[in-house]
Amino acid sequence: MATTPRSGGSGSGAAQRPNGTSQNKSCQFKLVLLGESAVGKSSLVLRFVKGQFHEYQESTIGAAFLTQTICIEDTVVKFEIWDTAGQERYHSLAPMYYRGAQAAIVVYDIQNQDSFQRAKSWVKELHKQASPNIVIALAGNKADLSNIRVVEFDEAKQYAEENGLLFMETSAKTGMNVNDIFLAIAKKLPKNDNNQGSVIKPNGNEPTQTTNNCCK
Amino acid sequence: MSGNPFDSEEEPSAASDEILEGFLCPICRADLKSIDYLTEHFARQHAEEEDALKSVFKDIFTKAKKKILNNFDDERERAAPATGTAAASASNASAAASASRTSNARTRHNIFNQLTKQSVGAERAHMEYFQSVRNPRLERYASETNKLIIRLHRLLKDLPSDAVQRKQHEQQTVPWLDGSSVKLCPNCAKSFHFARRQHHCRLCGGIMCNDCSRFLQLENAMQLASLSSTRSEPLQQLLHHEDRAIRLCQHCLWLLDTRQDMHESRTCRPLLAKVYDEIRQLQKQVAPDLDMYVKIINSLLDGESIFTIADAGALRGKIGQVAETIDLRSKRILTIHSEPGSREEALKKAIRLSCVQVIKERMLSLPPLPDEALIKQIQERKRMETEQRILTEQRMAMEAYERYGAANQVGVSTENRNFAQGSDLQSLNNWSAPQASTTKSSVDDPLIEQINIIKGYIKQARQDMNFDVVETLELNLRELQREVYERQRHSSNSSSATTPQADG
Repeated sequence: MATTPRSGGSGSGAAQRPNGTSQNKSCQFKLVLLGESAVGKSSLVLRFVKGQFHEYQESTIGAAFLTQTICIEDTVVKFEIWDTAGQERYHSLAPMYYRGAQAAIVVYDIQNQDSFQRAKSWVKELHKQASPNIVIALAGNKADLSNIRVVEFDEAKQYAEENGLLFMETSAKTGMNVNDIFLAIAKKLPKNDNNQGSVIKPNGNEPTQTTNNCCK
Repeated sequence: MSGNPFDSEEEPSAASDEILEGFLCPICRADLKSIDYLTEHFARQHAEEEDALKSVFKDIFTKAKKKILNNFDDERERAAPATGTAAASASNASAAASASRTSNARTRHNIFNQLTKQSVGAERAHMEYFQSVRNPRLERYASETNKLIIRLHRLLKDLPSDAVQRKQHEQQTVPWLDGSSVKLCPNCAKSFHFARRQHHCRLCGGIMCNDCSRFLQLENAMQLASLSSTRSEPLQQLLHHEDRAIRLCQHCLWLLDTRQDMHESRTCRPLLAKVYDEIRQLQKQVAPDLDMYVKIINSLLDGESIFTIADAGALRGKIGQVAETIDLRSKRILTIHSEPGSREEALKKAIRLSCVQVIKERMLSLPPLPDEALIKQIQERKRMETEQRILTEQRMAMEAYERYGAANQVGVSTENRNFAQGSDLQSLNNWSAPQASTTKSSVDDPLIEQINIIKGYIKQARQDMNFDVVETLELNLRELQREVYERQRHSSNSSSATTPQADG
């Protein structure tokens, strides 16, 4: 019940209410997690949403959906999180989930070089297929095991900078950087929102433009 | 609040709902249960979401939606104090209303959020009903088929070859239906007349036309009635093709066919299974041979003389033959027809692969036959070693005897025996010569006879390649030979002991 007024229509709730100066300003974002299987996507989300960590997290089937609301400055940000399944057979479903997403976290496992390569290909795919304004964050998970790391911090950092990604090494087990990475995304997102003013969704932006071109 | 962004996180109840997992539609969040359903649902239901034109009207829709939603919120707040069920039904109603008014999926999933997860309703087992329907049905078919088989049996038991008699016999066993009032064939509804005559099913007595008649060959019928076909000798003389079959209606033939099919499917095994069984049998049979071969080779290399190189060679040849047969059989399995890409195909490949592996690992990896010269050398060396050992033993015994003799003259006789025992080993080693002579001289000795018999057995066992038996027999033979020798030595000892007495 409590969520209904806010979730009514992303962002625009704030615009519609005349008195929504500080507390009532709210927006809603779709965020998707991508990455190879067993890198800790579900664990990251679970840590962020519930503050829990399961040593033996079950493999996700299809996709999982969770929400979490955080406050930044005077804005209430609600994340609609789509935690996709990393197993190869679910790969074909991923476009469905990242389409229209305003943010994506691409996760890899710092002990696993393959998962880093996979993360790179996810980033490439997102750049190609997802909405152009998407905010992508790269998360090197399992940072608590950094003594047996395979992927160097600097290497990943450099890659992230070259591709304009947010980058953090996280640990769902210890909780390190988990909230921070979501927060960093949230901070990067509202700017887009403010610019749009009355437009509801950040990605609602470019379809209107294209139709303007073809319909006139 | 603005200072710490995680203030609100501390109250998760406000933010996080239940975790949904599964094949969720990204728009309406319904669990579609499988990848295929989900992709299909997404493509069909939410294709319009993609539609660029729609997004032009989105603003208008959103505004309208907003208003509607706000109204609903108000309504819901009003309904909240009322009973829970009333509120639920109100939201359900609003869901239907909004879905019909706007096709925008966003609205829909907000309402989906409101719907609580449904619990599993009342359950009811239908197994009993299913069985109560199925069992009588099966029983009916079974009893009907049995009736037909019994009739068939009686019909065929002593079927006269003469046409008139036969007809009488048939009518006696199964009363034919009276056809006077039957104008149409019950099967094809064509009228009977001069050209299309009535015929009767020989098992149920029913009426049909010639076109609707089916024929069961007498041989098959005999088989079905479990009568031996040899008894139908007179029937072989029947000339006309139609005479050698029984006229049946479709239904009776179908029942009989079904019974036969069932019977076959229960008893017959596919060719693949048969061949595979043969392969397994061969593999099982060859296993002890493989062990035996390794044992023989080891024994040969140890310089023992229980087995010969010829034994090893023969056994190796036998194993090779078995390997070849297994190879052939598995190749044959590959040639059995099956649908490409089916599981049967995979099974065939797996069998072939395992056969090749078994042959490679267990049969081709056997140690090669040792060189004859090498074996000779080893045996020679072993003999030398034994002789060496015996010599040292002798010497030690000698020394002990001297030492003992110097200290105490009393134990001469016992020492003498000790010495003799030391030397007897040596003579056992050169056994063949004296043994050959004894076999000639004392055939009447039961022990010698036994030895000869065992030798015969060994020869036979070698021919049959029954090397386990060869081994035990060889060991027995050795024991016997030793026993014979002991006795000989004893007798010669006693004779030598008696001579001085006679002298004295």
